[in-house]
Parts: sequence; C-alpha cells; structure tokens
Amino acid sequence: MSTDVEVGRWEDYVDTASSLTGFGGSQDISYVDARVHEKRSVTIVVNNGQLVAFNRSYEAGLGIRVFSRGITLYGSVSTPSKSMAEYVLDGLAKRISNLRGWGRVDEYTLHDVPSEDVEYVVKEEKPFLDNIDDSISILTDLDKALRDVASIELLSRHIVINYTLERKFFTSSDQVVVSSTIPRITFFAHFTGKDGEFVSKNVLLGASQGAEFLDYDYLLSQCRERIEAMERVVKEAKPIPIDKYNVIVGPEIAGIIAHEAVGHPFELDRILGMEGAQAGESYVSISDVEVRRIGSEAVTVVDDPTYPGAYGYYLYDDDGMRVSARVMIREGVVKTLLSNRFVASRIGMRGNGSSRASSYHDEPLVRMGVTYFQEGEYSVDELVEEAGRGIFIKDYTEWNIDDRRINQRYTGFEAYLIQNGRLGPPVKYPVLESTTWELLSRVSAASSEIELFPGFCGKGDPMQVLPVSLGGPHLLINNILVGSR
Amino acid sequence: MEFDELLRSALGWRDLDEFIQKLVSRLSKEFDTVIVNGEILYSTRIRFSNYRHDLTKHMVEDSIDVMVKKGKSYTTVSLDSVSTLDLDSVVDFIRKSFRLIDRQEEYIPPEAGFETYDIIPGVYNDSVFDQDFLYRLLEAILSTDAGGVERLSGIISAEAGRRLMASSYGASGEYKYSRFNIRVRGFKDSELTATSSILSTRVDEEDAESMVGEVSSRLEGVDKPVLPERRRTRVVFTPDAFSNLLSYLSSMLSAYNYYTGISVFSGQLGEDIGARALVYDDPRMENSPASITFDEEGVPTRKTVYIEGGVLRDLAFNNTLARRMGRESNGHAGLIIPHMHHVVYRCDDVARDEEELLKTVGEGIYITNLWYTRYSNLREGSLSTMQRDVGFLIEDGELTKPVIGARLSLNIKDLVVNPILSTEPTKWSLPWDVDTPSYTGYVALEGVVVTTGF
Repeated sequence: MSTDVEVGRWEDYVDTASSLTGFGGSQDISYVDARVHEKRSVTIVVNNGQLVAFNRSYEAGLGIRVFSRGITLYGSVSTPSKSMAEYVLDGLAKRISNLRGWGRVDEYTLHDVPSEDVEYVVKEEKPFLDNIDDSISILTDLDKALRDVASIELLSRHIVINYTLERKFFTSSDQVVVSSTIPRITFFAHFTGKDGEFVSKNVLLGASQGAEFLDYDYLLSQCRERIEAMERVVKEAKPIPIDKYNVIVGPEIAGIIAHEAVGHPFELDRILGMEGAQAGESYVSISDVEVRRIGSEAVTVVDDPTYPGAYGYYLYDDDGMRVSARVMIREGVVKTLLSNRFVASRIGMRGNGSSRASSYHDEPLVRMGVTYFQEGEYSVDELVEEAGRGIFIKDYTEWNIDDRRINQRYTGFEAYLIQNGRLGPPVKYPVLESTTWELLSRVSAASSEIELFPGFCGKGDPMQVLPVSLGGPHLLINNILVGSR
Repeated sequence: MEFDELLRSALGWRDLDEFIQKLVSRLSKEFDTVIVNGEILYSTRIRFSNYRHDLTKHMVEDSIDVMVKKGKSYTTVSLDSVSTLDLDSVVDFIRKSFRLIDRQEEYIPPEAGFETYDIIPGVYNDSVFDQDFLYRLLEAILSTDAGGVERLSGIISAEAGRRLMASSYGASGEYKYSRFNIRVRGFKDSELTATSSILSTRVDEEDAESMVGEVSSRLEGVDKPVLPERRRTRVVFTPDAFSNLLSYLSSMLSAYNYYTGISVFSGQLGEDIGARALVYDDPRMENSPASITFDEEGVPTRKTVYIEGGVLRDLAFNNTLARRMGRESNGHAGLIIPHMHHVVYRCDDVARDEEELLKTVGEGIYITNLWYTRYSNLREGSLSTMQRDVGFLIEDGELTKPVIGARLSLNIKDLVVNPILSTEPTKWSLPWDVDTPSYTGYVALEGVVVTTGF
C-alpha cells in the first residue's frame, strides 16, 4: 500500500523554474539556470532490537544561479512562488551590476553547451515508499538473527536503512532542460563487541535501487561476515612487526584510495585553489595531464557516474551536461581531470559532467560519481600466490589523508598474514601509512572483479554531503611499509 | 521590494508559528503526545580564493520536525518548504506514516511544558543581513597586506535563524539567533599554509583585517618545513585545532551513545575517570554564537558540567534517557539522540598565557589545525587525526622549525585524562568538518603518537 502523499507542488516549482530562464528582463546577466530539487527520505533505525527511530522527510525548493563575465551568484527559495523567485533573480542581477568593475573578479565566459531536452528515471523494481512496512520487518528480523550469531559479547547492534528518492528539474538560458528521478538506498550497521577488549565494526552497503536492494539473506551474510571478523580480531589476531611487505588490499580499501588519493585531487576546483579553505587542495597541476606518471602500469582509475545501479549513479550533471566515464589515470599516467562548466570555463577548458549539488539551497560543485580502480586479470588466489610473503588486508577501520591528498593512512580490520603464497593467521590492525605516489607506483597487479561501496562525500561550505560510489578490485602493492596500530 | 530588504525580513517570511500551532492542535486530537519544532534559517556565504571572489550564495529555508506518539509507538516527520504545505495533507502524511509503526522502544515526553523562556542577551544581531557590510568585510580581508602570503582563500558566512517550538504538553516558545563564521586560509606556497577563523555574533572590518594579520604572522619567515619523527610526544594545540577533537569528545558525552554502549565512557557515570580537565556547556552564555534557549522538547537549557574534579558527572540528556537512567532532563534533546550544544574545555592546571604554556611543555609539537579525525575503534576511543596547516617543533619552550605532514594518534579520553595544562578558554571555534562549536584556549596533551606517511 502506498503511504506517500503529495506534500509539495512539483509542477508549480517546474513552472516557476521554466519562467526564469528568460533573464527576468535583466540586461545585467548573461546566463541563468534554475534547478528544482526535491528529496523524499525515509530513515529507519533499530538499536539493540528496538525500533528507536522512524523518520520520513521531504524537502523541495528552487535554486537559481546567475552568471555574468566571471561573477557567479546563487540564491534559493523554498516556495514555488513566481514573484518570490523573480525578486531573487532581480536581486542577484542587481548585485552583479554592483560587483562589476570591483576588481576582485576574474573575467571569463562560459563555454557553450549542446541544447538538451531529456528525462531519465531509475525505476525501482520494488518501490520503497510502497514497501516501508516490509523494510522495517527485514530490519527487525535481521537484528533478531544477529543477536545470537556472535561468540563474543555483542554490546551494541545499531542498524540503519536510509532511502532517498531524488528528483530534479534543471533548465537554463542555454536551452537545456533535464529531468531526473533517482532512488538511493543504504544499509548501515555498527557492531560493538567485547572479549577482554572492545572491538567495533561498520557495514555500509548501498545502490541506486528501491526496496529490492534489501535482500534479507544478502544483508545477513554481510553482517555475519563482519561479526565473525570481529571475533577473529579480538581472539586470534596478533600485531605484526613494522616491516616492508607485499600487501593485498581488498575492494573497500582500493575504493577509498581511488576516492581520496585520486578522485579528490583530480577535481579541477581544488587544483585551482577554490576549495583551499574548505575541502583542500591537490598534488595535481593542469600541466600534468597526459604527461605525469603517478602510478605503475597496473593503475587505471576511472570515474564513471553512469555505472548502472551504483549508489553514485547519474547521467546529467547540475550544469545540464551529459556525463560519461572519465579515465583519470590510464596505466599510471594522468589523463583526465574532473571538471564542470563553470570551473573549466575559467581556464578555457570544457566541463565533463562533474557538477553536483546536494540540495536546492546548495550551489553545484565539482564532484565525483562512481570512482574505482579498473580490474586486472588475476584471481584473488593468484594475487595471494604472487604476493608470497605479505599481508592481506580485506577492509579498513580508519583512514585519513592530508590537505593535498598525498600523506594517507589506512588501518586494516580483517587482515591475514600471507606465508608462502597462502593466507595464514589473522593480523591485528595493520597500518598502511604512505604517500599517493608510493602506493600507486607499487601496485603490480589487480584482480579481475571489482566491487563497489557507497560513500558520503563532503565538500563546500556548509559541507555538502553527496552520494558516491567507490571501489575496485583487489590490488597487490609490493614492498611497502606496514606496522601495527 | 529590494532584495536586501527581502533577505532582512527573511525570518518573518512565513507564518510558521501559526502553522505550527494549528498542526499541534489538530494532531493532539488523535495522538497522546505531539511535538513540533520549526525553524526559518537565513544565510549568505561569500566564497573567495586566490584573492578573488568565487561565488556568493543566499539561502532562506523553512522546515518543521514533527513527532507524534500514541501508546507505545511514535514516528517523526521532517518537512522542508513549509510554505508549500497544506495542513490537511501534512496531517494525512503523518497519520499514514504512523500506521506503519507497530511497537517500539519507549519515548517518554516531558510531563509539563514551559510557555515562557528567558531571552539570552546578545545572541541575535541583524548585521548578518547587511549584504553591503559582508562585501566590505571581504574587501577588508583582500586588501589587507598579507606579507609573503601568495594566495588567500576563505569564506564569510553570515547566518540567522528563528526557532519555534510547540507541543501537546504545553511547551511553546521561540527565539532568534545569528552568527558570523569567517575563515581565512593563507598559502605561502603549496605546503606552508595557515588559517585564521572567527565564530562570533559580531564582527567588524578590523576583525577581518586582523585575521589576515594572524595568517601572515604565522607564516612570516617560515620556510623549509621538516617532517615529524615517529615518536610519542607532547602536543600543543591552538584553540582551532583542539576544537576539532572536542567535537568528537562531545558525541561521547551524549546519553544515547552512553546508554547504547558505544561511548568510551559507557558504564562510568558518576565514577572517577581520572580526568584532569573541566568540560561543560553553557547554552545561556550571553553574546555567544552557540547559545540555545530551549531544546527540542522545549526544556529550557542550562549550564551542564560533564567532567569535573576527575569525575564523569553528567551526560547530555533528553527526557527519555534521563528518566530511564533515573535523572532529569538537562535540556539537550534531540528527541532520539541528545547532544551537547557546544563544548567548553579547560584543564585543571591553567597557564597564564600561551608563552607560559609552551615553557611548561618544553619539548613537543605545536599543531594549528586538524582535519580527518577518524576512530579506529569507536568503543575503545582510539583515533587518528591529520595535521592541516603549518605546525612547529617546540624546543626549550619555544616554537622553532616549521613542521608539516604529522598524523596524531591518541585516545579521545586523552583529552581529559592526559592533558598537561591549558590556558583559559578564550576562543569560539567551529572547524570546517565538524558540527559542534567549542570554546577553549591553548591545550597541551601528553603522550600523543606522531607519525607521517612521507
């Protein structure tokens, strides 16, 4: 039974947005776009068997962006009122007029874009908003099943489902009209256990899907796997001496490396210093493209928001540009930066579909979508054999990276010694602390299948948190320093 | 109407109070408990980089959060864009949402409400709406001589809000607040950087200029930075740097995390935890950028001391968790997850000033900014965090060589059990990547592990 109701006025917003792109009669602006951005969300939280939160939320509004010769202003309204939107547009136009000649603005013009008139919809096989009661049941049943699964004391089981149906209508004075509807769902669990010492582990899974994503058996197996790993960490795992090892990292760590050490520093606004006081800067420069080698030939890293079903999926960005796969690093060499129309135009480049905003009251920024290391040709067993002596680190419990995306650390959770080309006993909290170029240059092989994970990526001010995907295959990294926490 | 005038009147744009009262009245006929929190939020943000304006954005957002409870079940609904909503359809939406819930953990509302609240002086200042003033602040920043600083980036954030609350048990009220949050980051080159920030209800052009002066003086004469040696050492944090860590400490002091067993302090309420610092929040501080008149249950806020005299004395409670643990709410709801409104921190041993603190510390590392703080084991409290901006070696109580690339590993408990000393709290801070503001001074910690990936 559908429990959704029309609490907003989508058509009114669309009508108002469409009326704005004629500039509102102003001569002061050369470009206008308007984005209707609506999100319907459901959050279900079960803690230690109790349903502690069931929240439904709805937000909708209109973001208006104006541009003239290097000046960009953004305003938003949470009403479809045409007169209010026109007040805002008129006010932005007047401010542009005031700022012209100020001397604090670099003049540039926007590159042209093809006209578009498209709509795309990601269909849910099992629409979440019609199946909320089933989803609650899955969560509570899952918690019951997990209660007795561990041989250590499970102090806390915290399980969350979050679903968002994101709907956008973008229109601009460049005859671009794009409508989209994308459902996104995540399953998050945090477990805390004790067996002499405390141990904590997260599970995060997600996709651009509806309730069909919530397969009970799949979720149960994923949770059991992590809980069993928690048991091994506290009961069996031993620290290792700090030394150089051949290291295999799993897709979860490959993904966070791809996102943090490649995706972020390849964002053009960072490279130009525009996120300097917020999300930071980059080790990459524009002159690196097609020239600089930063990894071995086994390293190819892609951002492809069109990856079907991925949590960070989209087809058109919030500048109304079609996106396709961007190969950021091919066989170790810098190939493509992530950019959008507004930032790329500053330096005479073209945007490549990376403009994303998290809500109607946020301006689009250069963002990732689905970022991953490309697969290789090895099986995981072959990688282990190839490693000979080393460490297999399946997933992480902690990571961080510096402002320019060079100095990074990943603390492993489930990890094993590799002895004579075979997996050995568990290793306790191995720490891989290195630089981007050391890591990327020592990758010697990759497994043949990739796995993607959802992520929540932050940038801008106030921080805009966006759905992304990150992942990759298993990677073999040779002769790198690993210690224990 | 002129745009600036429109923004200035933003907090009165909606008949939000009338809508909320009608909603409570309607829902009270069919539910045992109804709580509605509403807010109109205005903000203007001006972003700049490389001494140039990048973007200005204006936002006015109105929203309500509704909780309804009947018997053993409750649900919450959050709705944005209240002006687009029709009362009947909202009531219908809440009814349908509630029917999905069978039975759940108990929610215990306050027994009675408060209809009047004290106004906290100095927390609202309408200069945040003055658009010309905001551009004058930017001009003051960009035109101040920054010495050898090659690039300046940052943001001027001006925001104001009007919060309203009504309930079926009599709590009802509203208040306004405003604040500026300005950040300026200077780049001498790609490695040597420094940040200055202001979080305040009031600023002027001189404040803006002084931020550039702070950045400039920190980078003056600084070159050839060194990488840190891997070692366990003493670390001195500036207020901005320590504020990042205090935000993570605050979540450990939420009664929800404590009760559900994921706080590093779980099971230790009322016990001597070996702390040598005072931790409290005082949401009724005058002229504060982090004051709150009442919480989401309409309970008036009050000063709450969490850690004092070595003992974990209190947690941030809402009514449900307070009753469950045999206490009274102390005005920190979150209906589900209570939270500290901010963190005020001071060590038991207090230095007269930064210079005396450095002399006492003698040897160690001086950290001016942090980010990417991440737990490796939440329940255990172990974490690492990343240096951002230039730091310095401390040798013989003096700042000497510039340091970059340090990663600090510690336990969140170290903030209260392993401090050496601090200065008195003097500065409000809200770093870019955390949620909870803090008021602190310079703080020195013992036994922090320093490593680097370089």
